[in-house]
Order: sequence, then C-alpha cells, then structure tokens
Amino acid sequence: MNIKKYYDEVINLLKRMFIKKDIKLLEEPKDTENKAVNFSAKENSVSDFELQLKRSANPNICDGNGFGIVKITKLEDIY
Amino acid sequence: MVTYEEFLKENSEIKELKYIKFGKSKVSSYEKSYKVAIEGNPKEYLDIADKATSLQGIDIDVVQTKESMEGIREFVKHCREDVKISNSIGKCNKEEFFLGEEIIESVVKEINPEWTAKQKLAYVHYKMGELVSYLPDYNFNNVVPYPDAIMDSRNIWKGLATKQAVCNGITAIQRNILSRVGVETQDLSSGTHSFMLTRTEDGNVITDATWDLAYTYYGIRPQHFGLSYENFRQKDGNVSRAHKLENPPENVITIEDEELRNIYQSIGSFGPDRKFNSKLPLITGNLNTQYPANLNDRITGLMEAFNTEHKDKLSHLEEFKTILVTALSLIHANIDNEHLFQQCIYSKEDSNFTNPKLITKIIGENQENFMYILDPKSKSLEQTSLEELRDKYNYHKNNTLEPFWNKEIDKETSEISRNDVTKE
Repeated sequence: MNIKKYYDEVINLLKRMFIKKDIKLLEEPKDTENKAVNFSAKENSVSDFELQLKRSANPNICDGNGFGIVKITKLEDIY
Repeated sequence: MVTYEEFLKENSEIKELKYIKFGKSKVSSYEKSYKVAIEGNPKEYLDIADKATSLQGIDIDVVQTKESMEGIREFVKHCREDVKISNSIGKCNKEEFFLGEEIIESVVKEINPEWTAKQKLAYVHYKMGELVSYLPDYNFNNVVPYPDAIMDSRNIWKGLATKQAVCNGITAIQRNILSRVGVETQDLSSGTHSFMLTRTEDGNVITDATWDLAYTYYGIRPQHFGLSYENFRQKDGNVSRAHKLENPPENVITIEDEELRNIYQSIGSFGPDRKFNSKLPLITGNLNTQYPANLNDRITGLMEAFNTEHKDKLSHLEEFKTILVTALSLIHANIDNEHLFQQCIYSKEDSNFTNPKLITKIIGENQENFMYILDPKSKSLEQTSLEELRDKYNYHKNNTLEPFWNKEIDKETSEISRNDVTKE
C-alpha cells in the first residue's frame, strides 16, 4: 500500500514536471526573428494535419506562388 | 489651402502629428492622438507637409484615382526627407515611392482609357510578370528568410522599386494601378494567400497574378485569369488551400480560351496567329526533334538555351524555378521529387543571407546528375559539383534541413572505399 502511494506521488511529480514544460513551450516568442517566422506561418499555414503532412512530403511546395502545385505539361497551354 | 494652424485646430485630439492617412478608410480611436485621415485633395494640405516636422509617415489607401495620386505625390515632395510611405502594410522611403510612382504612371499611360475593364485587367495581369518577381526563398518550410522583407514585399512602391513582392503586395500593386484607370477591384484573401476580384461589364472576374507570375514573365498564356472559384480550388488540389474562401464571391464569370485570346489580341499582346510570344515551345520542340532518343542531351540543351535565349530573364529566381518545371516536362523529363530538386542556397561569404542563388538538380537517363546554380544578380546559370557546393554554399540559416550534397558526398565516399576493398 505504501509502495503504491509512493509510486502515485512519483507519477504526479513527473506529470507536474511535464505540464510545466508544456506551458513553457507555449510562451510567446521573444525575439523579432521568431515573430517573423510566425507571420510567415500565418500566411502559409494549414490547420489540417493530413494536409500539412502532404505538404511536408514535398519540401518545394510554396503555395504563396503556386510553386510545386500547378504544373503545365501540355504545349497548348503555353501558346 | 488649409494652413497647419487651422488643421491642428480642426483636429484638436492630435497631441503630436506623426501620421497622415490619405483615402476613405478611417483612423481608429486609439490612433487619434497622432494620426489624421484626409479625404480631400492632398494639394490643399501642402502647408501641413511643409510645417509638420514631427510627421513620420504617410499611409495611402490602395484604391486611389489618378488625380488623388497626383496630389499625394505633390504632398510627399513637400514632406521631410526621412518620411516613410505605406499602404497600411510595409513602408518605403521617398526615393522608392517616386520610383514606384514613375513605374505605375508609365503603365497607366500604356492603358487605353477606352478599353473595357476586362481589357484593362488583362493588360495589368500580364504586366505584373515584368514588374515584379516573387520574393526568393520565401516561406520555405514556413521559415521566412528575410524578416525585413516580410512587410516591405507587401508595400506597393517598395515592391516595384526592388522588383520583389509576395501575393498581398502583387494584389495591392494591381489594385492601385487599376483604380487609377477606373476599374473596381477587391482583394480576395484565403488567410494563406491573396488574389483578386474585378468588377467588369459582364460580371466579376477572379484572377491570380501571383500564380501567373512565371507564365506572364516568360510570355506564356496566363493560367489563372478568369477561372471560376471551383476551378481555382481544383488547381489547389489536395495540397493547398490558397484559394479557399469562407464566402466565395457572387456573380463570377469565367473567361474561356477563345475570349481570353480575343482580349489579348485586342490589346495588342500578340499577333494575328493569336499565340502568346514565349520562345519556350520553339526551344523545347527543337530539342525534342534534335535529340529524340537522348534525354540527357535535351536537358543540357535546355539549360544552354536558358543561358542564351532567356539570359535576360534569369534575374527572376522564383519564376525560373517555376518555368523550368514546365520546360522539363515539355522535353519529357521526369519532374517528380526523385528527379528534380530545387533549393535556394547562399554563398558562405554571404553571412547575412541577402543574395539567394538557386541550385537545380536534375536526374536524367541512367541516373546521370545535372547540377546548375542560378545567380540572379549576374543572370548566369552554371554547372556545379557536389564539392563546389560543399565548399562554397549553405542553405539559409533558418532552413533546418541538411544540405543534400553532404549526404551524397558521404554516399560517394563510402562507395569508393567499398570498391577499393573489393579490388584488394
């Protein structure tokens, strides 16, 4: 019984440590460079995880200019 | 003429006049102690420009008439030399403003006032390829390479002066030009991308000059002009939400190929053969005829053609990146991720990462490797090697990926030592 109590306390302590870590990670970025990154992320971000995964599979994709998304492969589309 | 003293009296909430806004949009209540909006003729307020020594910035609404811009130019001339000019976003200095204005006014002069809204829109849409290039290396893996350029690439005049912009800037430039020739437009924003709606005689037209930048720059038929909203979403495919709108516009008309060609023919963009004037079909066609059985020769020939026939266009890095994909597919090269890789790189001496270059790696037949570096500053496209890349170049510091050449050199080295062991 005592061992279980001790075990629970250790688990709770570990949980508290991890929660603290999570809060730290969510803090607002302090320097301007990170803020810039966030601005970019806003312009090109997608919330859907699956979509993000597809995009990350192709590092060239930049939908700001359509690169990697639209490909012309037919001659008649050029003339 | 309104005097500075009268102006301050009229705007009693002002504590220190730091900003003046020209246009119809209002100044918010928290800005009222330092910012005033002027809707009237800017020429009536020159005394303020002369005397307001605290004036730091002028904010100009994107939509302006030709006459109101003429007045604003006069006002800016009278302002202190270090005044900054903005279109709500980004800022430029006086020199950039007047250079941008010169460019815009020359485009306005080229537009026939008798043209219809569709004709004017078509002209400006095509002109954008010539006026700006998409900001290089922007948003690679959601990492911005140049924090200073984030806002500036959205400023109308800075974008034109530096010839670099992103989608919002490109839309703002178009809207500003079109408003001066009496065409009504609206910014369409998906939250991830910005494009445009234009009111025409027959209905509303959706266009995306940013996604067409490479095609209009290389004289190709526009691909994103007068499509329906659904067509735009189809182009996004399943990897992008660039054109997804919460409230898609109403009364949207589509411009079919026949009409598109009629419009471009009527504004003198191409000859009686009704073809767009890119050299690309001829170049790729000749390569296919000359080397029907040898893809590697076609690849070499294509890169040589870019270096000669299209040399003057090599200053636009992102547009080269896009057009190369098209050109390679036209010579029947494989353009999937396994066979084509393009990435911005920076010389190791460029510690501020201000001069991006482009590395293109193409895998041809029999796994032959073709590697070229594009330097937009010197408009050169030169072959390179893994060793040169390792010795002289880096990815941008914000790009966390390992440069591809490191892995390949390791692979080559281990293959050589394995062969040596086998020989022994």
